[in-house]
Amino acid sequence: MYAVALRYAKDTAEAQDILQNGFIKVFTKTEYYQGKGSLEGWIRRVIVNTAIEHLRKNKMNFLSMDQITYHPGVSCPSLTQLDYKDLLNIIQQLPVGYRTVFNLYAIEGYGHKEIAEMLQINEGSSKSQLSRARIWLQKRIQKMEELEL
Amino acid sequence: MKEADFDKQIAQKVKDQEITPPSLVWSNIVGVLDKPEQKSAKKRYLSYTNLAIAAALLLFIGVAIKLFNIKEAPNKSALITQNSWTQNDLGSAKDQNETPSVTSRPDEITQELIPTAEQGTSMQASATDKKEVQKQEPHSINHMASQTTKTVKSNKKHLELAPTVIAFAAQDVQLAQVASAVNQNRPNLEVVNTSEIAYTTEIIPQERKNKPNILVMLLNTVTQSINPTQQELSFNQDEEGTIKVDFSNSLVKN
Repeated sequence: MYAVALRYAKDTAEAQDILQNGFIKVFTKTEYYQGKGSLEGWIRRVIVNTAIEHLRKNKMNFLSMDQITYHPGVSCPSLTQLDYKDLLNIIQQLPVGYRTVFNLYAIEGYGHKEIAEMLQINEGSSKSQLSRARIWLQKRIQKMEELEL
Repeated sequence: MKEADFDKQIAQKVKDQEITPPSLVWSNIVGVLDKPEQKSAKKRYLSYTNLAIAAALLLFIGVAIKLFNIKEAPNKSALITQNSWTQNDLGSAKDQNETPSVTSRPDEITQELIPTAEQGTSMQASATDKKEVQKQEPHSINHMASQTTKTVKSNKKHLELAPTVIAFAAQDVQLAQVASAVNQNRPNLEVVNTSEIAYTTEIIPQERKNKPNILVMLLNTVTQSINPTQQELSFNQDEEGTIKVDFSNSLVKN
């Protein structure tokens, strides 16, 4: 669960706060677990929701269209050479809005409608944040590969 | 590479990773989970304190209300009044008219009960025409009125030459029965249904004016408690609310 919290946080301190608050909820709200799904899945959802709540409290801002520079010609790099720590480091450097939407969509598997409800944004905004997050990540991974070569 | 494949590759690399958090996080979680018990105990203590304060306040308010209403008339709406005039009273009918009456009716009853100076002279003649009311009359009237669980305010001194206008609060007992019973024994009495009489707002202020103030009562109580055998000092209140001191000791007076 600490790994989940690290993906949503910008650093380890924030991730530890999310993990702590998440587990306090897990221990104090056990009556909400109805036993239908796996316990691990329920705890993961609690941690994700706690992370979103934490980001909302800290006034998570989605970057506007003007602040983004497009790189349409960026080709998708190969991720085989990257290890987990490097990839986690890149994800943590993502702007908070990009990072949250990318985590929810690409890793957790939520749809844009659910993400829009969770983050209280439009569906279109969720889609645009996701596409920009992809472009941002591809650019960073490509740069990293160039440095390694 | 398609976007979906890119997402899938990242998800595969990231999703199922496990990292052990520092032990400090777990100790913090345990510390926070232990705190709510202390909080609940504190809340319980606070709630008991609030309850005690609320109970004390309620008690204080109750005692205060009881003290203020200690001599309040129990049933103001059931007043049965008797208004009578002696010849001396008729002579000072103008003065009576200025003072607020206990009951009043806007039309004829008011005229009967509160005569003006001119009516006073005419009633003087009518009073002589009618038979005089004997002193035993209040007993029979009171007996009838007791059936209606009302009180009769009678003034024996005034009844001697009364024009005998008597008002009953006959809300519960049929007025006709009361009237016939009264007329059998005392045909010179007129029975008036006071349920038709609209009580003026002057009733309560008049009663309240005559009632001693709580401060006066307190002062008198303190005076009596200081010297219960010789009551040389007493406090009174007039209609305007001014507190007056009465010295019964002649040395003090002089």
